Amino acid sequence: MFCRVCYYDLRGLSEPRCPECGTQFNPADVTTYLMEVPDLRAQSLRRIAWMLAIALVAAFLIMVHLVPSFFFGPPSSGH
Amino acid sequence: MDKQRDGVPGSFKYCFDPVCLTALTIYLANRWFMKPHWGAYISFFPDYLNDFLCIPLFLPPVLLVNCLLGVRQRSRYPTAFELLFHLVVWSVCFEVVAPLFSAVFHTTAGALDVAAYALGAGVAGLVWGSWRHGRLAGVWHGRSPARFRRGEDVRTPIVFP
Repeated sequence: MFCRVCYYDLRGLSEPRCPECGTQFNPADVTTYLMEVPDLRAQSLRRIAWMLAIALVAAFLIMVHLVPSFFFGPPSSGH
Repeated sequence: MDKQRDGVPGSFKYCFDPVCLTALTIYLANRWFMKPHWGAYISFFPDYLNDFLCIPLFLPPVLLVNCLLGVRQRSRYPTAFELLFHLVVWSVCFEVVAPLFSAVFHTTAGALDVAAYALGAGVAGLVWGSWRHGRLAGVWHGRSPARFRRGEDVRTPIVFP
């Protein structure tokens, strides 16, 4: 039983309010709190993996298809 | 948690972001005017201006793809992490990987190219960061930033004679 906003442990509280962030909850309503803390680390790693994949695809498209002369001129041009 | 203020007028518009559109305009001007006319005299235009424009021009559409795939929150200005992440990834791609295939891409590695990427990312990040935190919010709507932050509408009514 954890706060939906800050994931504070709400078990054993005397009043239905998160002492960390003030969010109210109803112990009888499971939609007002979380039963488990989400795995934030796994979510972050998954997000970074997606960002990396998209960035690599974008880099490939920039280099090969979209604007082939954007970065890459003849070697003598200073690049 | 997203720290973008609710009071900031508008939100990040991705490909229609003013920074992206400005970078696109400068890129086209450089390609068709500045480089042919001034490139022989000022080596910055043919050598480094496109590198400088890399992040401001390409990051917004890439973040739009991130948004469409649900990787990032909609309408949020680019964060420092997103800027640094793409700066590092693209620097490695363009200055480490691409030169390995120089016969295909006709490119060589250069530390100044990375510096140009970083400078462009820094300038874009300053502007996006300012808008995210509302410091230039009023400027974007043609109002006084200080008065806009205080919630005062200082638009001058148009009076017809």
